[in-house]
Amino acid sequence: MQVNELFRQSNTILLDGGMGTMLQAAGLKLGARPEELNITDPALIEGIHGQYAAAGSRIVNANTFGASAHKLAGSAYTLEQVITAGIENCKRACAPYGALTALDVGPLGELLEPSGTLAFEDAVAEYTRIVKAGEAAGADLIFFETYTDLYELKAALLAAKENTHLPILASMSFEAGGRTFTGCTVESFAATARGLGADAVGINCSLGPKEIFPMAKRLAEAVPGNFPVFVKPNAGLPRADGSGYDITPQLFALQIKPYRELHLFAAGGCCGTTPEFIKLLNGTFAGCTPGRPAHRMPSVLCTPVDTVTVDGITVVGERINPTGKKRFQQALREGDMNYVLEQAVSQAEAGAQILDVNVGAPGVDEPVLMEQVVKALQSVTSLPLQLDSSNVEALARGLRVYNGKPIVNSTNGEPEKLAAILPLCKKYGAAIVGLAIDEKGIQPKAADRVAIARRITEAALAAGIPREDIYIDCLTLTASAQQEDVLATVQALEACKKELGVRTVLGVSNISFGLPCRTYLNTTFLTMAMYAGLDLAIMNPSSEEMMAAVYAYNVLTNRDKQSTKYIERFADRVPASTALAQAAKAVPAASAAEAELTGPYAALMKAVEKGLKGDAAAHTRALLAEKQPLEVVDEALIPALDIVGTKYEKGTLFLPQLLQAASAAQSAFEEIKTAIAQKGEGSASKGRIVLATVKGDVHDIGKNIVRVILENYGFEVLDLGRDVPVETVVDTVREKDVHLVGLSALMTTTLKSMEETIAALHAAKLDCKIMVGGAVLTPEYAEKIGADWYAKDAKRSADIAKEFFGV
Amino acid sequence: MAIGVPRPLAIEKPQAVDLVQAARYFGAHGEPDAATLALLQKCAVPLLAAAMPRAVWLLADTPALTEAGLLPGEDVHKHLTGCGQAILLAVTLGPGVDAQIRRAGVGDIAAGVASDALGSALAEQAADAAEAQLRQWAATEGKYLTGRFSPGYGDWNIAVQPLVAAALDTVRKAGLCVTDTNLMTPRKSVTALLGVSDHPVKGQLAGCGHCVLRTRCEYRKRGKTCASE
Repeated sequence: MQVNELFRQSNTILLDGGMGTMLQAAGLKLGARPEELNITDPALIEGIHGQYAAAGSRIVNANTFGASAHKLAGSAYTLEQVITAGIENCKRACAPYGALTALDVGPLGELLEPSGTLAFEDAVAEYTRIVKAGEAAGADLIFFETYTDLYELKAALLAAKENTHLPILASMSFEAGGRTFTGCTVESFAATARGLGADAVGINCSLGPKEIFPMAKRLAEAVPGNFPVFVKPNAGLPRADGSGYDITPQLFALQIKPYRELHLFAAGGCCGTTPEFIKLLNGTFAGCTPGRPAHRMPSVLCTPVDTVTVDGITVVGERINPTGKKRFQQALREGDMNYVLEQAVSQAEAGAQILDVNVGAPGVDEPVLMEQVVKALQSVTSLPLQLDSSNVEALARGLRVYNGKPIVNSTNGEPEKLAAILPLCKKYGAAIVGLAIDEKGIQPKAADRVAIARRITEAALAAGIPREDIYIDCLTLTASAQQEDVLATVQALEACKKELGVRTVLGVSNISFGLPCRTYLNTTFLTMAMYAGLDLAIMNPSSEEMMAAVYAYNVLTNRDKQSTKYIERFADRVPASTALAQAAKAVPAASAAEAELTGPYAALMKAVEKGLKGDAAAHTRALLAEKQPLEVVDEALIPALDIVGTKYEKGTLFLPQLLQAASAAQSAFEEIKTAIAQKGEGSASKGRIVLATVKGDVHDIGKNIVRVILENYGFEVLDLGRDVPVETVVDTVREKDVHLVGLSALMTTTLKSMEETIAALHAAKLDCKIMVGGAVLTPEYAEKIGADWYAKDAKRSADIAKEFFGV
Repeated sequence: MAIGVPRPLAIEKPQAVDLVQAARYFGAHGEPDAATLALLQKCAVPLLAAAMPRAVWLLADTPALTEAGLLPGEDVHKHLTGCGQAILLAVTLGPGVDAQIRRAGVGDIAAGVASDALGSALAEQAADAAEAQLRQWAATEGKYLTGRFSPGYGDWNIAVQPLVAAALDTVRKAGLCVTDTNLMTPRKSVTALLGVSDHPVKGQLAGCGHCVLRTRCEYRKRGKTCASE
């Protein structure tokens, strides 16, 4: 077979079976590296490949599955040597049979960030070495298999697409529940891998043919009918006594038979299967042509664990956007990710299904920030993201590190804009929002907007973006300024859906600028647009009225069957207007009573001491109506924290109470920061401190506690996170002119990183002092490695900071 | 047999997180107060939902483990006294729990630390569930097991983690990786060794003598041990 005929076969072709199984049978010792045998015993390896080729395998995987730098650490051979020998062995074995040689690539053996420590770009770099070595050695194609982490598969696919011209088969391993170990669904895998340019998608390992079948069916339904799908199941399930797998070659062949209905591109075996298994598959697929009839493709946006099928109204949270929000702009300038993450978590709790992400603000490096924010967001939320920017570089950076299939907001009808953005979406497999506007500006008439939408749609299709991934924004005009054109938006939306077969999107809240009680206008406009066929509503999910309109609409249009979701959401609630009336009566009375008893700050201090988040924020808001923000900090928050801290030191209260007080102070502090930002008065900072959990350590809970306590005492904390490279600490201290650094390490093995970080700070001759903490540290060790202070707990670190800054 | 092949162990997700144990990891002394208990209860719901426990184990001859460099130090050998064989076990709650801990901590440090404590408690429960199954297996084979002994106990250095993970093929069989600094990811994971014998064995605990925390352990200061409270 020639490579260029690979996807034009008249029958389902056969892949090979297990390699590890064959090597264990040949006496491979546990813990030995099978890939070294490519060099030390090429005859053995070539012999196994030859048996598969002879059994009918048309694609044979070279013995390169674990040829990564991490797995070969300590080996006498480089991954290039192992791969070159592996491909050569396989090619020799395949030649007599005309079979193709695949560079077999598996996971690197390290978990990627955020759960692990391997950075995404480092993974791409390592895969680049692997795929380049494979192509140079003459592999016919690349076979990525046994992936359980979609993010790692993305790194692998990018490396292959950017550095080789080889066809790519991509396969993940799913557990019985239909998810991988990391929670990735079959549908997210299909959408993401296909979007990133895999030529075929498949499922291998973990389970036998019977268990994989329903997942393979889902996979086939999640890609177009003509898109190649393959499977490589295990020889059943592992036997309980550890003696191998539980089905025979005959049973395997029998269980593979039902796969005929999926019209696979290829099938083979994984763990426990041998050439005998493959031999018995000959004839199974006689007359079985690859490819299924075309079917309607759903519009899917996803993260690994969350697949959102856009079919009707879908809520996109609009609040990660600094436009017109001083507190948000300040957070972005200061790199305060926690503020951004709070917006994400609260919108998710309010019912957003997708999050719009816009980080464009004056005085920030938008591309850098977009990358940081996307990474941070996907570490705490599983909602798909809509990357919102007019900066092409920012979009590219965000798309690259996004884990799953995102949507880009936006292009418009201008040719240069289309030329810049559509190829990016194609490369990273993203859906696209097209604004129905071009260089001539907004068209008042619906028909003119539809004409622009048509041009955008045609350009996107020509760029290789499928129709189901095209979303048109017919532009919400402000009712106060262009009242006569409001209906044109709704009409254009309806026409785009019907005539162009695309999805639609609107930034709903724009309708009400400049008018009072905006929610009323927003909700009514949203309802009109939903009825016209709106798919994505970019809106504030915390608006109870608008969310109620969405849920009610789904009931009235018979989409929410038996009103299940409506009842689930609203069963225990009272309408917003009623709740407001009740609250207005209750709250001031209670706080007034407390204030009378013990002075103006008593209520807030009590709320902090008792750890009542909501109360602390409410009392702070009330106080800010009369007091200066810094007064509230000095007269209420810090004294309250001191009381709690003293009790903690005396042992009359413990960590849980201390932390709950800290959480309450956190919510109070957020109100204070908002007030300061609104007044445009700079910041409340009593001093700037860098915190980091050192390189190699992923235990950051202790450092997080220290951060919150320091922030509660009014210090500005630059939190560099965990697993922080030495140079990042040094660079930040230098660039941000910081004079106090806090480092944490939990394990004995990572104390070395702490020592190296301190040494580097000293070597750079930076004018800074260093405090350290962590479970295995001692005051003596802290002194030995050159730290200025040992902080035994968060309270102590706050005392050190107060002493250092003289506050 | 030397070192046997790794086998997956099907473990059920516990019905609920052990809140008493979680409160202890959270830093409560004695009975948690009402607010702390309420916080733990609230955080336990999404944490339990995010857990996907996986376990894998193998049976090996003790000398083979020693030869493969898996048993450095004295304490692990003391623990294995009288045991010609041993079981290696790895259990993980999966990366979803790490993500939930991060999510809970956004804007609420108390909820973050509470979730971390809940994750630790749940990981122990999952390890208990795995151990219970291994004890059933041992009973049917007429064998006896010691308790669990984990890397980091006494002088059994955590530098053995990569070897334990490789022997158990944890990356492929449970999605559990070990970093270059010998830390397990996902974080809420447990590896352990259990001695196997044909007569009842107790398995000596490591005690505090070699523990890295012995000079500043909160339990020791209170006249207790981490195993006794």
